[in-house]
Amino acid sequence: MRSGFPRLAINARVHRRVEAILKVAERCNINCSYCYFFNGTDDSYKRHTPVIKFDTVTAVATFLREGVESLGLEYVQIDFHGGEPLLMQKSQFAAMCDHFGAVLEPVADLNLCLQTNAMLIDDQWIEIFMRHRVKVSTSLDGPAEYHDQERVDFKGRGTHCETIAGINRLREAVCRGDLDGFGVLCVINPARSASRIYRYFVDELGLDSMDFLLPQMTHDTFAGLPATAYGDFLCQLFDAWAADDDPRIQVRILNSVLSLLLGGRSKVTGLGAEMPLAITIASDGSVGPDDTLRTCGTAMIESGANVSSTTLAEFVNNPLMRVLDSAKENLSAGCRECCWQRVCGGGQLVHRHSARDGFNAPSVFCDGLKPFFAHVAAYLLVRGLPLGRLSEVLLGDAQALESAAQTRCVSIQNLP
Amino acid sequence: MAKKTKVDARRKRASALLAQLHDAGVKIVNIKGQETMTLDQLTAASKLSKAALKDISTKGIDFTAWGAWTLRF
Repeated sequence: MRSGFPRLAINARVHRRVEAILKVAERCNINCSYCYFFNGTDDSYKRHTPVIKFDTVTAVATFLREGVESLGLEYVQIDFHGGEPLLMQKSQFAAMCDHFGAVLEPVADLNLCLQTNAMLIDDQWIEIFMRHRVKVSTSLDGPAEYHDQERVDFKGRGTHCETIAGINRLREAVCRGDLDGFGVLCVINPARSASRIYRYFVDELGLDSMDFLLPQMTHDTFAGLPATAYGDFLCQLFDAWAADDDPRIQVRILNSVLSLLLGGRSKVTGLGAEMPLAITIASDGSVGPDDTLRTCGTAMIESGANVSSTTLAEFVNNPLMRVLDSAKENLSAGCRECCWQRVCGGGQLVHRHSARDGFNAPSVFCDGLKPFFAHVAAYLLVRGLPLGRLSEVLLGDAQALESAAQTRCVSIQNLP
Repeated sequence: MAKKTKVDARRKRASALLAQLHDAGVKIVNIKGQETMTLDQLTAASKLSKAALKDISTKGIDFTAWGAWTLRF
């Protein structure tokens, strides 16, 4: 029975974690054409300070600490985000890391992460990452011929060369043992070859930690190739990764789908039924939900709350958070009837949104996600996953698939 | 009536899932009289990696271990 307490707060207590996407800089040194932050429907960044001030940093630290104590959390992840977070002065960034450590490490397991375009990374930044154990993730859309199509500077010039220079500094730091590793995020463009991108990452750059993101599109903004093309891309990606059979190479979206199909949890928001507590804190301390909802319009990201005047426990009860919590739990009719519900969970909220129907729709990528899930499930079945196990995970009944197939015992074969 | 509706919904989802698995290249066939597969049978019937086979042979068919080795997470 659902209590009157918001599910987000329940989830926070269950998972004992909060992820704070902290916009330390709301400006950028480049101008990616697909940027959801600067080139989308929301322009709230214009009203925020370009770089976070230290007063706000202290307020954020207090806000998170109070949240840890009141919600009984054990794990706090702060994602330094932007814009481009490395536009912050190095000394300020380091002081910020020191402050978060001093305030939060006594009460929680603190994880500091960074999402950067890598172009500003130099040896001094590497030293800061090392000293403060900041986990770095970079944005790279593949080889230059792909990356430079959309990831451009303010003069329209490609940024691949400078990005790779920064990535190479990270690789060298990993080789020296100064950093444990770093990750790469690639935005999916189905007009491109998934295997080309994967092979470029693995063979030419030696990367072993990556993720591929569906673009931030709603039902109102979806354009270009059909959703099925995204499914084809993901299937191709999966095949390339599976063929390597290399346990070192981690692809977060693939790990998440595999985990969910086996009855486990997703590694990312947007898959699975769970909705871990993720908030966005702007450079002026404004608190909002998951940053991706910015694509749904300013009303979906501005809660009216600020870290200086609210608490985390109060924020999860904010009317906007309640709306989003309800949207995640109350799926459209099509999603409720879908055999992939326990894996998909309806998909990311942003992908379900339209001005007309709100969140009452399947993901705009639904027609691509279904064949992708089936592709991965097929991989598992032909490698020995019992049909009953898959049936139990997806349908809640170990016999359901066998009954539907009208067999008593089954063997799984690839079709010729 | 509510239970029947729930069962019908599950059957519908199961049929949809089977169809999608078929589209993904999987054929489910009947093997009369066969018990649950032994590890040898599973090995012969599947394409488990050597690491997964070694893990399963020592720890049993535990999905966590199997997943961790075969599926790299």
